[in-house]
Amino acid sequence: MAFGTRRPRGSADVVDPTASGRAMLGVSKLRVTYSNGARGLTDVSFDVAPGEIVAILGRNGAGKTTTLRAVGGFLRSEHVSVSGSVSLEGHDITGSTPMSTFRKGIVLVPERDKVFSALRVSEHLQLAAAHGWKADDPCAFEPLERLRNSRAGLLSGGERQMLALEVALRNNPKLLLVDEASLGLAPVIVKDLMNRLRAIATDRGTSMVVVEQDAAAALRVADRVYVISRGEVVWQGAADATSATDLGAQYLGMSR
Amino acid sequence: MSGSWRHLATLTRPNRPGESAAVEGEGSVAARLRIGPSPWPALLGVTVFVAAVLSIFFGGSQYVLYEATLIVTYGIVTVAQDWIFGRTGLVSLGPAAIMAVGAFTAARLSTEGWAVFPIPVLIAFVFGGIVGLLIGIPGLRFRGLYLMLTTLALQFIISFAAQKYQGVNREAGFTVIPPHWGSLLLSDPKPLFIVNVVVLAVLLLTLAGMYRGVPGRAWSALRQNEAAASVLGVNLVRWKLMAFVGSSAVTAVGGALYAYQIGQVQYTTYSLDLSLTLVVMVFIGGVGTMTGPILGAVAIVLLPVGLQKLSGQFSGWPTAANWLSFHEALVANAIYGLALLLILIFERDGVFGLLKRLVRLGLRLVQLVAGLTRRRAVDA
Amino acid sequence: MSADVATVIVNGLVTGCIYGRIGIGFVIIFRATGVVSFAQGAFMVLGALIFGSVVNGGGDLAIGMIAVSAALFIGGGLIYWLVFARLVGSDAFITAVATVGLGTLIEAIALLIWGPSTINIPQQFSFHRHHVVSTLGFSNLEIFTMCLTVGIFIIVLIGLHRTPVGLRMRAVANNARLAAFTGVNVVTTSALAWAIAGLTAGLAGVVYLLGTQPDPGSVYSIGLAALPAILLGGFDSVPGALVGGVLIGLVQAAVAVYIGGAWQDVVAYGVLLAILLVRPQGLFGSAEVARL
Repeated sequence: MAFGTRRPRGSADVVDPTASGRAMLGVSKLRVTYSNGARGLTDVSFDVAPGEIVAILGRNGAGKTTTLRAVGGFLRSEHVSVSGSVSLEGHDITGSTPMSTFRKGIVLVPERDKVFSALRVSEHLQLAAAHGWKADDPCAFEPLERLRNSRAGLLSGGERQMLALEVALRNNPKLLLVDEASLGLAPVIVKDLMNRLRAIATDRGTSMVVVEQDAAAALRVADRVYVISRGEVVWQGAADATSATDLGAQYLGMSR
Repeated sequence: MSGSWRHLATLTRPNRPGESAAVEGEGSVAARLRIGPSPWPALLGVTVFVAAVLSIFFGGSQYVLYEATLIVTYGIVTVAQDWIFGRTGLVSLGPAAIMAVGAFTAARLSTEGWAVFPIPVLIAFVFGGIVGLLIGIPGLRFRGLYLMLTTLALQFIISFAAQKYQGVNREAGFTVIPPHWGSLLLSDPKPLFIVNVVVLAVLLLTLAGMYRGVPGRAWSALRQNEAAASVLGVNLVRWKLMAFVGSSAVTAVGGALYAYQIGQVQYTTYSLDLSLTLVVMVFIGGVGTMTGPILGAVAIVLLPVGLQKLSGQFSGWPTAANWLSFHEALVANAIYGLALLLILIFERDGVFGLLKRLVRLGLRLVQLVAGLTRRRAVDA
Repeated sequence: MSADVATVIVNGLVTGCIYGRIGIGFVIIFRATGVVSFAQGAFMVLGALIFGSVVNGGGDLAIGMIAVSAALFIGGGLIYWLVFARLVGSDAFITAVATVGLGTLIEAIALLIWGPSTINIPQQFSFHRHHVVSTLGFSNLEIFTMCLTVGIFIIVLIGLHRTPVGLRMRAVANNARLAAFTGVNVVTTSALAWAIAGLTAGLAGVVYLLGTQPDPGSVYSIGLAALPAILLGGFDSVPGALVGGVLIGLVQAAVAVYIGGAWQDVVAYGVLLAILLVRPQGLFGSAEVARL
């Protein structure tokens, strides 16, 4: 059921990011299989340009989280086999350990358990104190400032997500992987979060891969979008030329 | 929820205990269509078992019969332990205490005239089941660590109760009047061996049947993910209690048979040390497999014998030989500990797994040779 | 104050301190790596034996303690790296059984090297008792034990809450997976937890040795006897380990005096059952340990 690249109705040409300079992240023919036969990815290829936000959309179980994990190096176990290639700024990093991808500048914000429930916000910032950041430096997400003494376990969902992103950003990542940031959050908060991400990408030139089930929210801030279904890319295109309704009806099984 | 039912049905192969729950996703179509595991390993196992039993029964010396009976008795207990934690994922650190229940029952009843064999064994079975029920009730609430602690506490408490009981009734321990069946004295090596073998065979057949059917799938689901299992409609209470009661009843029977063999029942035998040894036996042999626990029993009973033979080999180096035979128990312990660690790290299926690998290697060698000779025949 | 009560208090506090020192290592290992360690007793044995060798070879108390601390610190970390780092992701029963195997191995090797006889060392402390009240007096050794225990606890608590290393350890304890995502070296941090646990258990063995002349076997079984104390304090609470230890120590001392020595262990395990039924998280355990 591979659809390949399709021109959305009445749109401009699909933008090719690699034409205008070296890609920050290049993923080619990524294939992930689990030893118990569970489906992972069959064929995923995409890339991210510097300072670009790429959204990866799809239904539950389509393979979005698996993609992020493969890029970050978190699929290293004897039950999983990964083939294909992942490269960062032109250097091949396929099969690297999480620690080494972390050191090379890839930071993953997971979908669940994104913060240490027992530690205070200030302690989170202490953990992330490195790369020129001190715990006392003001937060990019201002609402966190008045929460410095609170335990992360007591924060609301939106505050937790902001804390997770704050900690991730203090590592000065070249590439930020965000898994389902909108999960469990009210639309207003999601919108605010996405806008902040856009601002950070623009200000600091951080590339981002945002995995989302909330297609509309992601499309609002992403530059380009890929849709994954059953382990492979079935759609790619420029975000502003794509409408959530089209995608929703065709690939995401939503009736919006 | 049709997808989840299909997922439950594909859990026919018990996962290695300790493997995290299966990843999201369905089994491949091929796996689901497969009728069942190949019958050859089971046939091989049965053949080996029967051959071993026959050769020991007809050709074995007193000593061999004694060791073999010991192995089978331990095997009964370890298979029951594998049932409770290998298949159902419920922790138990108190098998020795349950054996004590069976052993003391057998010993005490051996002096009663009405309690002819197999009545004491049946009563031990019932008492064991009752203890299993007692463990099962907190076991419904707890699963891992706290269940471990509960069974540990029970081990100490039952051991203490046995100590008091023995102190009150018979200071030096109970002597077991040998049971007899008609004119057959069951403490004689051959009859005792056969009784043990029969019990083990019945146990294995019953469990094999259950593991392959609905109970097995329920226990497997329970072991892998209790919350998911209950959501899918698996009756946790029923299956957990069945596992506790059943395995404890069988363990008590093992204790009774052990008492018949040793002829003496002392509370000191059924200590935490024995409990831990039994648990280790299961893991060394290969937890979650049918033959693993028995292999573990073989390993632990035969290792000291092997060490003695080894120290005999060292006759050229008398100091080494002396040291080895003097410290044999400690060396054996060290080997068990090391073997357990190595097995947990490298080969979870234990000795069974190692044997499987050997067999596979052998088959591949045979294939290789067959392929070479065939090619040569073609070339010729 | 009657002599009996005084005995109970003194013995209870001292035993409680030993339990506390076994417990603190246990809790640290449990929080950082999720392993229930039945091997603390084996570390105690090693500590006692090494100390005995050093002291019998001419060293004094301080050198003996330093030797034990260093040896078990390195040993603990090494053991994590060799064994438990490779068992990450296994479920709790497997790792607990692994600690049983480890304990068996260590105890067997220790007995092979040192022999099973009681460990005899020259007296390090005078028997002089300092009296607080007429019948209640503490010997030098007892005071030393209690002060050392409190000192260890204070150092560990400060270390955990005020140093970057401690922060990393608490992060790993809270969520090891997330810690890996945020760039914390989980293996090193966990090895450090085991190193600290080895050290505290070793020193506990030293203190036990100083008070009695035990044989290695009985040292090992104390490792298990500490479990009710740890549960009472709460499996994931460091201060709870000391509180639970002292409480169980006092209970056991009272049982020894008023009922009979043989009942000590049974009563302790009876208390354990009661705690499990009534309040599994113990006195200070967090909600997460209410259902394990």
